[in-house]
Amino acid sequence: MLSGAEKTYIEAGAAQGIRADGRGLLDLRPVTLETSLLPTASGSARVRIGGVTDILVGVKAEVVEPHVNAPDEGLMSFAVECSSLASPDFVGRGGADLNAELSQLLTRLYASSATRELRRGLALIPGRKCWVLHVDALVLDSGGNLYGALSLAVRAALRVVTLPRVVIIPGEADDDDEIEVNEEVFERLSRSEDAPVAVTLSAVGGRGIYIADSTSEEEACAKAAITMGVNLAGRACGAVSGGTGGVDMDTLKSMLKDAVRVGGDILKTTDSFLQDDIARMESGEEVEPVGFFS
Amino acid sequence: MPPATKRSRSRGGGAGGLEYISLDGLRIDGRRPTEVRKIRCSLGALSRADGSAYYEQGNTRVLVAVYGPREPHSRASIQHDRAVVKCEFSTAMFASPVYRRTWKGDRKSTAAALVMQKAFEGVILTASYPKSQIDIYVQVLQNDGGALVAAINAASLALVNAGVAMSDFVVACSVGFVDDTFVVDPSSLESASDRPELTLAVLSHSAKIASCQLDSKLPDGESFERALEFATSGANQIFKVLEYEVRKYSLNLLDSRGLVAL
Amino acid sequence: MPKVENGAAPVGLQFGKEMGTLALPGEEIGKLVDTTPPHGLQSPQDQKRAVVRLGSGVTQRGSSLLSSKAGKVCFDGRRNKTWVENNQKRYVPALEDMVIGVVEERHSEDVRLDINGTDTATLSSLAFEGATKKNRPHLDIGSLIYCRITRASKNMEAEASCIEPGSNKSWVGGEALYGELKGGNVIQVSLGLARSLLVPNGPVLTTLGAKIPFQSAVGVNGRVWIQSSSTEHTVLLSIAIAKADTMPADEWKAFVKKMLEQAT
Repeated sequence: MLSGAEKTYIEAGAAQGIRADGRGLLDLRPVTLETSLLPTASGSARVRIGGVTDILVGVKAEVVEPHVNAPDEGLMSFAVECSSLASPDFVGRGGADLNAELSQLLTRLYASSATRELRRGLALIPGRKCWVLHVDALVLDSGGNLYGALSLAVRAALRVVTLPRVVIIPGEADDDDEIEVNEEVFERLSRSEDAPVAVTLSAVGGRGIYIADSTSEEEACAKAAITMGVNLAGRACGAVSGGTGGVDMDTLKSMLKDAVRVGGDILKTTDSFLQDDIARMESGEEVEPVGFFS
Repeated sequence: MPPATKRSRSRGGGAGGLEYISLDGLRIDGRRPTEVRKIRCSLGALSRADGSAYYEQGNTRVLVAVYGPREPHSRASIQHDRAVVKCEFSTAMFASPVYRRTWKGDRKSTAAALVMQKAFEGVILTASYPKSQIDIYVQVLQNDGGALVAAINAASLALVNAGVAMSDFVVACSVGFVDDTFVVDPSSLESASDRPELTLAVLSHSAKIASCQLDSKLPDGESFERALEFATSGANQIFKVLEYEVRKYSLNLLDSRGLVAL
Repeated sequence: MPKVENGAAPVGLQFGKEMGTLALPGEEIGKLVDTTPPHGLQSPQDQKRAVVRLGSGVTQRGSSLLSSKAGKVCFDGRRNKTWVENNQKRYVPALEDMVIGVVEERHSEDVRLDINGTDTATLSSLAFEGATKKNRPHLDIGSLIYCRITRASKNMEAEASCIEPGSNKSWVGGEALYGELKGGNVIQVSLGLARSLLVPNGPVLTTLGAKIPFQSAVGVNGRVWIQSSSTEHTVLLSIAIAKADTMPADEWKAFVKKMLEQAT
């Protein structure tokens, strides 16, 4: 329960450009990013923000038939689960609604044209066979900015996903081609760098004031919030608004601009870290999981 | 695209062709029959829970959160003279090689939750917290055998982290039976569905049994007592590790506030 | 003999563990011993002294005293009391504890406070010095109240009061010790840190107060209220106090030094 004093404190602080933990309005909390920690998954990642939000993502691949509407694209399915670890509210089926909402967000994030090339990279035999990536996300701890943490963990997992090499064996007739999966050689996902991150900006306090990477206490004070998908090219992919009531047009425009900038920063910093991880993967170096001990 | 890593292959074969104990008496992963896998654990891994612990035993990894003692969720479950203990056992979608979505409501998970609830109800001083509820939530992140054992041990650590008063410290260990030999802490490879497996939870100081589950019959001629001995010795090994961790954790707590003496 | 603090040696209690050492749940920390002299007669004073008080974290099984938590074995010779000191997030109400509660529910005669514990506490709107039915404080949901626990039983909801015995400062005017905390910020810390912040002239608050003037109230239930003249200072103080929970002493001192330099 947020006390009146805390609410006032958060709002008064925001009006002066300071937040409860000393950050600037658009500053982000420290992020811990780890990849390839689930040996049974094709790709996996764990993201912790500020030591209070904790997401684990695992990706599994399967060969299926593509959608009739997009025969030259592969598929991605997203399932988010809020573990009871994060809150007693999620016990049993308590988290069902939030799970659905978060899964929907990720689906929309990856459905736009900005990720089309990524999806095309999953196609095997157009119209007949393609990869489906089952992306499973588990929320272990929830201290604010769930969208941001989720999208970042999914992106990191996709960046390190490796799929077995597939060879197409031409058949006699046109639609007789078969595929052969080579379990000995693995390849990374093409265009995984296109994966977007979600940036949420929350309106707190007075007019025109908004913050990035909010804590759960700040989220409880927010009047409105917009979440935007941003990719490396600086393009917006799927904007999700979480109630913009009370936000005027000028503020909204400025929020969209800042979301793109903040998203760009996140992508740049995490990518340089991910490059190290990927390089280590390719050199075959053993990575000792840091995870729960740091 | 540059070629990426080669996946290591698991040993093949089913029940017929696999040799579980080598001529040297070593198991597939190099352990002796009485050896427990390597354990790593830490307390306070989660920020919101009142108590939490991360626990690894070999490649089995679990996270446990304790919420409470707190106000009961439903009026129906209030006990006027003691705390009510509730457990949930959930396995993550990526926990085992067999692909499937999350499970927490299936029979196995509900059974495991019940085992834990009964075991901890017996050791938590519930009379100290009347009309309240203590929740123990288990999340299995990876399952390479012994998930219930890991869950029980992690729960003990999480309860200590939460400061819940207990009459003793519960430690669990399991015993399997392969190639006519009892093996302590069987991995998933060593525990097939038709093999006997004993899961034991003991109270470390009073040496009493908190819970004992035997899946499948022991082969004729093998005594239950012998299986118990193996399990108890395994539990003692595990207790030494956990005791060390708890002391280290408590010492760190005292240390970090050295300038503000307790 | 184990090291004793605060006066006399234990009476009627024999320590099995060195005091100040760590104990785990289920570990025997001592035994209750019969102090009746051989002739069987004991003066009332001796009988009184032979009472052993068991505090938090200690449970009795027959004549054995066991630890029920993981923590440091402590003993107070003045009260012949032993307990196991641990750190945790949840607060268990004890009589006379000074706590900071948040108003969760309002009723006509009283309010319900969230005190970060197993259960809530009730605070009567008349439990304020000088309050009458016609003149009593209006407590909104979300208000912060600094109060004293006047009833703590594991079987019943705790009761709190804002009346300070021996004081006649009215609740009106804000001079009273207890009452609503207006403005400022409140943070949640571990119970252990809260306890140590209550030690008079403790290092944390004195170090901070030397450079930045501020008001504070510390609840043993892990809540600390801070108010200074500027929001910026309040932010810095809040962060500094919260960090004292996780940083080792030397690191904290250095951190605060740097922070104060930048601020002033």
